[in-house]
Amino acid sequence: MTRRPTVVSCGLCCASGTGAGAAYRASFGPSGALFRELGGCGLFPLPRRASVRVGAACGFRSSRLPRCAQILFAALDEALADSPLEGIARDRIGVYAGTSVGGILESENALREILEGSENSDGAFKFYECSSVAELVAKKIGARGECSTFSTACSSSSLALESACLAISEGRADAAVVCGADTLSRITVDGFGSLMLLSKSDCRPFDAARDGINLGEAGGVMVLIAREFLGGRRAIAEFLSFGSTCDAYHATAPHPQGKGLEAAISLCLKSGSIEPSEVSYYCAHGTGTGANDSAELAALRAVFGEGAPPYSSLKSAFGHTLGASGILNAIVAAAALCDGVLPPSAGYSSGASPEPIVSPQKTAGKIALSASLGFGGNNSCAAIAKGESGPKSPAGASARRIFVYGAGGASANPDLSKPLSARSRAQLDSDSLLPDIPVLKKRKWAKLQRMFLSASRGALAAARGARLGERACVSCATGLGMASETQKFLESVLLKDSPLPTAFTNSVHNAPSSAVAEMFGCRGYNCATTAKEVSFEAALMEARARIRGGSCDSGIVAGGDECDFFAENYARRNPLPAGAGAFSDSCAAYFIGAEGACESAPAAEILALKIRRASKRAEDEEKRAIETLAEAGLSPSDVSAWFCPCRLGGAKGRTLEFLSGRFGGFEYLEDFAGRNYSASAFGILASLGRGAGIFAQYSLSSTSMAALTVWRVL
Amino acid sequence: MDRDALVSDIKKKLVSALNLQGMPEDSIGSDTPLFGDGGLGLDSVDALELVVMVENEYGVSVGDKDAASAVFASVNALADYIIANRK
Repeated sequence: MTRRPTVVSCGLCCASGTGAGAAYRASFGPSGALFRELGGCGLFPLPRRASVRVGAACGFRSSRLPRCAQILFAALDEALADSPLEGIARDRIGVYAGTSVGGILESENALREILEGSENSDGAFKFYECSSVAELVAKKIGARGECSTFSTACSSSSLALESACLAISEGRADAAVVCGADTLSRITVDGFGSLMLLSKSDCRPFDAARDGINLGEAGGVMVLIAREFLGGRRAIAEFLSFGSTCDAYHATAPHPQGKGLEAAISLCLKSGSIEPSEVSYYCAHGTGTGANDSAELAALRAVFGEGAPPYSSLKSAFGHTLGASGILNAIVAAAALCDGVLPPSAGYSSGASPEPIVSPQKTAGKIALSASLGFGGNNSCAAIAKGESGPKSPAGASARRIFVYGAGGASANPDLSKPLSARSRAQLDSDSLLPDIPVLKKRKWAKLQRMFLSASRGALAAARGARLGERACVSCATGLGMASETQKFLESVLLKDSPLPTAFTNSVHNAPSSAVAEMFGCRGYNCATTAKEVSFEAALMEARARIRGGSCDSGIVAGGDECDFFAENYARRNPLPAGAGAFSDSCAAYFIGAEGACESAPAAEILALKIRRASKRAEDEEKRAIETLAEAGLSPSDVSAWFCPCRLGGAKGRTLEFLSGRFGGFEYLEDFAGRNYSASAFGILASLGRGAGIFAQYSLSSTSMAALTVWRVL
Repeated sequence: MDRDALVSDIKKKLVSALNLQGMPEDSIGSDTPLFGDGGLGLDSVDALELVVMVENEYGVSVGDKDAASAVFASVNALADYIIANRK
């Protein structure tokens, strides 16, 4: 109860300017009042395009920071104005960010320069990595706890919120700064354009005559604190529960009857012990496309029957702010509960059942739901209670043990027990992956998706009778996401002005996790985490939290990356340390679960997992590792082998060398699976088949995040 | 390009646009339905992909989404549409 995640401050920067209060007031305006012509925003040239109206954030000019960080920092300044984190230990503050495309706008310019033949050296590609969003925020505020970025397209920041709340209720953090940010960019404008989903004028969510979306941009921040640390701070709202699911139905289209969203709303109500009649407001995803809105209406009818709560979409006020839309919804919904007036669904006139509210509506209610849907059939629903009013205690972490039942890999190294022979590049041939699956079935999966599918299939093969379905989650880690597809799409835009729709739908970071869900029928929580070299640990953390919390019983956890264009660029920015392994395409996957998740006996048990910012002093890192082992009842002498994903240069390299010396020698995973951001996914796989024993893995990222994982091979 | 050559050219381009590598182009029947069951099983995103392909490769525009289902009914239907609309 005391660890209830409580909102103590908010910040929002969007089409209405900076200010959460201003945005709440603007949500009462007519549809499109804040929209302007994209061509007049000066963001990028728009050949041949007629009218594209967008909800742009104004007043930002080019600087060393990517536009998404500038917008987010404006929101962050607002949220931190009254020092809500004062008195909270820095290593107990986590940062959880959600973004669909991060700093892609700047990367697009860099790519254009390269395509035009000029050598780009300004490092703008580093902002392509979505993990830079959480990293920039953590650096700015000096947070030293967990730091993860979630990139599940339009539900990204909703997943970040859920993750932060779980971290607080599980006791992994005392406070969390949750962020959502996305800007306008070529990839999203031309991508949604290529799918013919952009509105010709101003969007009309839920209306019978709706014709698509207006894109927008936003940065949103919520500062959450465990209630026991509230002190004199005013509680704006509390999060009661979440429900996140995957349709496992199609790469882009939602399930036509909104089955996945229905399950998400039901799960959210059930896990928060909330009666449908207690819900006073449903803040809809409501993008204004035919498919989204009818799926959402079907879900509302299925969950609430005739008694649907008042609901509205904010997209006609701010545009669709993609990965930021979840936190924007949550901030406005919380403001509406506090103020007692619900914003109307601007632009709606007729045709929906149930109907949205069309004029401001007073409420004395205490609970609102906020919903998000994303590509890949991703659904998320949050229950928010006004002020400090949540009477029900959160589910909290259970003592459920977490086992690994099966492991699989996709690697250019045919025998992972032997060193990789390739010297510079160990690539996989996409056509040779999943050889038994007919071309017509696998044609839409690009290489990275095929790698995740192939590795996941290996993991499930070892887990006889694995029960999947709605209680199975998929948590996939990737440092660079669908880089090749992103490049392919951007080239189709920049070189030919002829955007390719499939490359766009395949460009999202959660394309692998949704493909895995669809292939194996995993309809529970589904996420894509990205956190440089500790991306896999972030994904494992999420799956473990879902299984421990009881919303899932099992899941597929995987980490994979390819070594193409964007990775090459990474190598140019980061000189490789001595002894570095070959860059590789690789993916490792595991089927994990609670006791009895499948008929096969477990192969390993996860004993400890901790992620936080590394100390500059190697001795401190040693001390912390020993402490984490001690929490699991172990000492360094119990560990039969230590893994480390990749060697690093400079001071971080010296930390690794020191620890390696203290712990009897690290085995570097890059020597076996090759080098990429997801090399850390291979540790558990490398330990299996070596006999029973305790294994540990110390992963250090190039941005100084440290993860320690300890497991027992059974 | 005569009609037969066009039909075989369309098949070649379908293999590339739809990422059907490894599938011989003559295995796509000229009257095989491109959408729905019993054919290639394409979906609405593929339809948009084909709009781009037809525009780029044959200089023929397909117009709106509603027209697409008839134009892309089969390779033969598409060939007829291209012949009728190319300049």
